Amino acid sequence: MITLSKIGEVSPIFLTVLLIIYLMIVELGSRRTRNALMPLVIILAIAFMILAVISVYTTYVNLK
Amino acid sequence: MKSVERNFIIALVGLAIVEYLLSSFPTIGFFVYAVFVGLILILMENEVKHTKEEKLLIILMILPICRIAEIFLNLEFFWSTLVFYLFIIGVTLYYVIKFWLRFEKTPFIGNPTYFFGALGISGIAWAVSKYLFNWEFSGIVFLIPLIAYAEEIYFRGTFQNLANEWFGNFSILLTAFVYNIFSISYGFTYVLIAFSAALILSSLYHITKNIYISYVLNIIFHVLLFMFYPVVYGI
Repeated sequence: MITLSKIGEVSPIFLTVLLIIYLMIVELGSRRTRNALMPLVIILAIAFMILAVISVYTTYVNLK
Repeated sequence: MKSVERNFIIALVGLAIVEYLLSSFPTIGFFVYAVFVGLILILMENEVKHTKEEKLLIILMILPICRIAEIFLNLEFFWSTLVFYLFIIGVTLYYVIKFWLRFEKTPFIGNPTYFFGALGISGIAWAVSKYLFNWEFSGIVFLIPLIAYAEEIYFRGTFQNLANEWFGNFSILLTAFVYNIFSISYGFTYVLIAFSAALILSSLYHITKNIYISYVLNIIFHVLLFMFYPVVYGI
């Protein structure tokens, strides 16, 4: 099963901050901005979810 | 030079600089990358109808979008590569449907059934090499057809077809150049190898307009790469 070997050079906290900033821009911006940034936000959100699930799973495996 | 052509050249050079920055200073490079991609996506978005230049610049941003997501997925080689190339296939299909790209006699994704067939065969080969022979690098057997498919529908099927409408024969060199921008982190030797391979693939696609030929050649290229230049696969 997949586990996180180590935290990368760029911390996942940056991903969270980036995702929140882009979500704010999408929410507060015009329709044009929303259309433009939607694929980027979706991809970042999927990456975030994968990272979150695997991180929780890694912690669970290490605890067991 | 028209302003849109100037913008395109600025975007290409900017992308090369940002990619270099990312491989040298990951944290700073990542922030610059994120702002760069977001800005171009917003500037090129058009509510009425996209021009082909705007479409090409947005298509150019597909790989950076996936690169940003990939930076965080510090998983094993197999999983991070799998996710990265699935992202590329997904976003490419999204934009192709969004822009409703149709090229006469130039299929952008060919017939997906053939590619799924190739994936199925490679999946069986992967299972056999893993469970019967306990081969250490069995994952690559499955990954190579997927990598080739993602690269072909993105670089040849979508990017080169769009660039061809704008730049004509120059699109061959342009596609090879864009392919190389994203290879900077593997070192100069690999950049030279990849540039030569990309030139051959793009020229063949330009002449034959047959994505299957470039797909098969791409698989052969990656197999040779795995045999003679394993550093690309992190081995």
